[in-house]
Amino acid sequence: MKKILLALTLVIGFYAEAKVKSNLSFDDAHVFVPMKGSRATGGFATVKNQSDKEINLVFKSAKGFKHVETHRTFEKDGQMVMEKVENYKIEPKGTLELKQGGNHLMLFDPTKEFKKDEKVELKFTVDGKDMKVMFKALPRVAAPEADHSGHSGH
Amino acid sequence: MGNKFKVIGAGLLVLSFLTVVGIWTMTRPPKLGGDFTLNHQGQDWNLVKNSKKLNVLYIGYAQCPDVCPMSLSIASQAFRQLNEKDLTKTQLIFLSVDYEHDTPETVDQYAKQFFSSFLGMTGSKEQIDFTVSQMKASYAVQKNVDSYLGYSIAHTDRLYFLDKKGMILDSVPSPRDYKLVLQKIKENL
Repeated sequence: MKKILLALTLVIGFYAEAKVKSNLSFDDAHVFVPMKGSRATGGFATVKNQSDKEINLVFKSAKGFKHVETHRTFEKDGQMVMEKVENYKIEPKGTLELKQGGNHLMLFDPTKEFKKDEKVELKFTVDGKDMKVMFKALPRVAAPEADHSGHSGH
Repeated sequence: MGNKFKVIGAGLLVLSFLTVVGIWTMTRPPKLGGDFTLNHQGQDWNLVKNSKKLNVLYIGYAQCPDVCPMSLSIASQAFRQLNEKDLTKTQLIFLSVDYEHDTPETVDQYAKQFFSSFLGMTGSKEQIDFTVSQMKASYAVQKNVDSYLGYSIAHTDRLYFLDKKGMILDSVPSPRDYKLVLQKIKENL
């Protein structure tokens, strides 16, 4: 009986996640590889709500990080200000831009080293239902440096 | 009679000159910037003593996950386009105003990941506040007990282009386009 209940729970869980995924898409989902000297890095994506209902998106965790939060950056009195937000609401058929200088995910204190293009598992709840999304780890500085510094007299 | 006209003419000329100088003095933009001393890798670092022909300054903090790394990435893209000769005449200084959390060593390590010649610095509150005021920039530490770090810092998001004495030649607010930064560097070199 227990096994049947467990199986049923799993099936319902998978169904619920599949349903959530069909309603929500993440494009260009990436986190920046954490940099030495900083405890925080950012996660970004274009999130589209394909359903006819408003969606409540909560960022719960990220594999390889101790803590996560959602924030928004905005300009006020000539300063860039960042404030924590609890969730993001996405209108029916609407789009949430998680972008630099705006709404963004924050990931704190990496517990491992991340490499370029490594997949990072992020967990969200969408209207209370769990959803995992794989984000790509990208370096802050895209191309290797053609290092001219330190050379002299050419 | 002739001498009288000459005197009046000369007087008018002087008056016109003084008027032009007066208008120019009143309407010219104020000179901003100036020398400053910060802490680089545990040592006092004075701009005038260590300046290059062009000194690019960005004020932020290393725990910032958003605009600081974005602006430094844009600046590093611009620096990557410079040739060796131009690189010897240009340097970027990243000033972390987060003197309570960033150390001179960690902030320098942080800055160098964007471009190997970038200099990361912090300083005492007095050194930081003086430098920030020289640039007419600002920052504000905001305590946030609900946040994991417990704080964030609101700050000016601007690249300053300084001459050898630290005077502001130009600036780019919210740098998001490396081509514009590169153009400003080349214009001021």
